[in-house]
Amino acid sequence: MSEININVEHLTRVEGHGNIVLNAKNGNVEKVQWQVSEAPRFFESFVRGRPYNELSHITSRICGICSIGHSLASLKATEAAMGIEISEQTQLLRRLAAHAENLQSHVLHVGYLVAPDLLGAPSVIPLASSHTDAVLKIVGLHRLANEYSNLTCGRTVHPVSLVVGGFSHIPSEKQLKEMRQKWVDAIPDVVAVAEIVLANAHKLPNFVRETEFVALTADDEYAIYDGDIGSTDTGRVPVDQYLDITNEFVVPHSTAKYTKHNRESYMVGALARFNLNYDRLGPLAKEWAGKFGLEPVNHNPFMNNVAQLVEIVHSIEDTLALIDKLLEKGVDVNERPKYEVKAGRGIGAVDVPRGILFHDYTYNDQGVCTKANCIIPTNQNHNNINLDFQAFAPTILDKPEAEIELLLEMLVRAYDPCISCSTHYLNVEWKR
Amino acid sequence: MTTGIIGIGNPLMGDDGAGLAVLSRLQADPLPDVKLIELGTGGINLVHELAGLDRAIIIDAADFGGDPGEIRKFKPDEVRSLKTQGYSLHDWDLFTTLDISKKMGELPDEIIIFAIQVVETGHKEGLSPHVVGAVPEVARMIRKLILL
Repeated sequence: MSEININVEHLTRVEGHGNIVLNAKNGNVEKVQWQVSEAPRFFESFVRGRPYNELSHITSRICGICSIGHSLASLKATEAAMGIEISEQTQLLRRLAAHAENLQSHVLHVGYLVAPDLLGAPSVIPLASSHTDAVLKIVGLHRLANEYSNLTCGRTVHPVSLVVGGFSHIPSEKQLKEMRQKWVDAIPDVVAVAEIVLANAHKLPNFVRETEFVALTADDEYAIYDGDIGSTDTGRVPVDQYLDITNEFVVPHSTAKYTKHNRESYMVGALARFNLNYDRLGPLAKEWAGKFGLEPVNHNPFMNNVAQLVEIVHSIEDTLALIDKLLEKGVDVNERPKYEVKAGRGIGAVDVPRGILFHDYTYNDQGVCTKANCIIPTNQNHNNINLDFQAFAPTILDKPEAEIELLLEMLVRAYDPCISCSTHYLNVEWKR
Repeated sequence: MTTGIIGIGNPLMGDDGAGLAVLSRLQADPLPDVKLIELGTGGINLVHELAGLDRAIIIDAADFGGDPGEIRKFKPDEVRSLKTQGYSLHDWDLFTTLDISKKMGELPDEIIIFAIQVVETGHKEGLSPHVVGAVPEVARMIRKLILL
């Protein structure tokens, strides 16, 4: 009688705390589960009673990786609630901010967290010795993405210059030109990293489970900052119908809420965006998708890593195009927001690195928030991860236990989950 | 010589905010020719902050089994980290990051770490009394080091 019992508590190389449990006997899976053990965050309660111009700054703190995306979704919700129109310049600059975050986050995930799995290392540390050149390029790209966030948002995390109705500080034409050139110069490094991932892509399991994909979608662009809600199953609906898509519910083994729409679960994130918006990718991004054999609609969750890589290329291509457009129009660094505070309810959706994000606020006539709802991408993926586990585990039971454990870990990491924060003090002993 | 003083920690996690408290104290009475860097919970971003520095003074909360609020000044090679090497962006390890910086050839020539023994690191604002007491002392030690 053969027994397999895997308990991975606090899976590493993901954000926050989640556990993997697999119990199998005689080739049959008895239990396989992705458990989320994060504590509730109460952000929706924090913002009640707070003035409208504080909300993006408070809710950006939901996440240290997606803080730009939370700020943008928050500002869009507030602007929708009060009927505030934003300028074309603001639209373009916010798209740059969204790309800056996409680059920051995807470079971190693919470079620091996924590359070790593909290159057979336990973490990025040994890679710094065995693949020094690649690690140098990854750190360089991450540094440039940070600089880009700093330019567009006033800080690398938790934006300060993104405000209701526009910007409190606008980058100059000179700064934008310099940033554009830096990304042009960075393309060979991105290609070099992509080549390494491509050479190891055969290590990504060929696992397919059909599911529904949900992401923002638009006619004229690869939707990240704006669009309708798209589903590979049911088509497009406006953002204000988001509750019909998310349908949150609770399960006993998770402190995080689950979601479902047309099937038992759906997936959000880079692969969902790719599947829904492939036609609007930049030419180089499409070329790289082709090299990996990635085509829409792809149902292998491990390919989310590749979709992120494709999006890195796309975000650079679109950055160049957007900066060109800004420079062509001429940048007005003195433009400041103009609006009136009004009562109302508004919904903002942004497709942040880990998937579609919703903020929904209600304000009274003083501009004080009376109700808020935020639905985060990772929570929309938990249910899909669990169902992937149930389909994937039986197919790998013949492998050694350590390999099964690694494959299940890789599956969770492919979703790039961002669960919650914890404390980070040093824990050391003195060398004797 | 470019010196950076880097405060690490999360002020919403009790004594984990000790490093930032020292940094605030130094900010109140600026030192000549030093860069004060509030890393907070920036984790891997430390690699970027270290680039270009000749000397880095790092202040962080620590658990080394000392007395509450005890201060230790040491160099990275004097300790062994007890953190697991799994590596997530939310559970990073200072020594791992220093190692990456070294492999990149960007590690400052001199690294000095000031560690303050924590008492409580739960979800709360403010430091425990022993750690509060250590803050001006660490600031004084750093001031002395810089002005030497």
